[in-house]
Amino acid sequence: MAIKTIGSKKSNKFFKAMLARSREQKNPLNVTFEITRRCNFYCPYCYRVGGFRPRQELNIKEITAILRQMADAGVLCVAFTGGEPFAREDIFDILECANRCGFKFNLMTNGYFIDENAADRLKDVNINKVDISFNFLSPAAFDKFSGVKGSFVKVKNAIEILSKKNIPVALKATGMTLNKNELVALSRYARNLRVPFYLDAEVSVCHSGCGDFSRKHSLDNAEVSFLMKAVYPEMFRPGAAVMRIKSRARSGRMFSCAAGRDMFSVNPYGEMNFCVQIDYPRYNILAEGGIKSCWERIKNEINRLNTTKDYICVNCDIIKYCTHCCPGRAFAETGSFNSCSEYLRNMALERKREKEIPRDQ
Amino acid sequence: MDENKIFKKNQDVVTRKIAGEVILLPIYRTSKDMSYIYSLNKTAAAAWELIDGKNTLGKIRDKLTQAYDAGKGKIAKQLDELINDLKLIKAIS
Repeated sequence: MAIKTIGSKKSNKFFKAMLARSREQKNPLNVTFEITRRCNFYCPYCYRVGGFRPRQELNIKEITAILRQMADAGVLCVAFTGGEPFAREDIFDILECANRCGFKFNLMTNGYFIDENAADRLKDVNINKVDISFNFLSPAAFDKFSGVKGSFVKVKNAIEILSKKNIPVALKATGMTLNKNELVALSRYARNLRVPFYLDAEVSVCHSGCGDFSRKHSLDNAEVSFLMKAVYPEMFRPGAAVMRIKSRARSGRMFSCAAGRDMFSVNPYGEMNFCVQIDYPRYNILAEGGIKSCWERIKNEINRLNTTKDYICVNCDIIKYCTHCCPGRAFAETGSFNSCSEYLRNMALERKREKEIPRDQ
Repeated sequence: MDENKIFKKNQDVVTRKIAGEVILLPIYRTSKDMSYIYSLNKTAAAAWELIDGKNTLGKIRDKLTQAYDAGKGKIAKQLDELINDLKLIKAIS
């Protein structure tokens, strides 16, 4: 057949093959585009609460220029995130431009602003998927966490509107001490709606602080283990495929993720970074040669870091208990990639005490 | 095949060249619950490039015959099938 139709059943195989080719050719395929740091919520784990200082964000002309350069560089998949993307009045202009550039794009949002009209507009711009942050099933707890009264009702409505209109939606929750008793119920709510549910068991330390919240409210290893088994029981049945996670020491690379291989991120100031969790190295796309030039520099910087001498993980005495392969956490905590994250070290020590060797060993 | 027929690309279908592959992405929803994308093989990609609102099907056939050193009849048949497929996915008019 001269033309192959790629629908949902074939798409995994297709994208996997495309990803492999992109990596071989060292071209970017996936981008996370943080289009704003403004938001209407005040979630305590976010940089907005952790001492964030607003700067002049990209305007629509600049965003359009960057999107076109991304298309020219071979990017296919874009995840638009924030802050809250709907905090931008020109959000639909941005998504329309993304559609016309030929991207497959998702939107990560708190869902507050999605009503019937917004959902119809999302369908018109051919959105691939909407990811909604949904941390609590109890309305009072949800509203308290977001800092916005009535937010639970609005977000729950958004989820149901999107589902009703056949717009693919997924729910994402961060596991914390504040919601650990609701996560299983949340996952069941998602299953009943037949939407994917993603549980991030780590409260991240974002680039402008909020380390205190992470220290106070992160789950311990036993809680994470319990929740993963309760939320994803199919992954722990006998014979289930084990997700292999390469530890940094065994892979021999500081960065064994997609950063600099097929992925980069862009912040609201037009700066290219390794990923959205790490505000580094901040190459100014429009002022420093464009997407292709900045991408070459990102690859060189990752290669430079990957040849770091005295790489701290290599001689670590508890490396076999550590699952994490992202040096971004250490960077967010200490400002250095070649350092040990206090949080990850504590989790590894807990596993050592419980003699729990991670499933990838 | 009508040799004199001229087709043009639908402006609502975006052509992307990614990792050596030519794919077509309609900017509209292609089905109720998701949007398909279309991947073209080498010959189809070459033909797609020649569909520009100016080249007749006969001209396209001749250029492909030259480029691929294949029989005119074989190319004409493949081109016919491709045109039908492209019409089906509303990529051309």
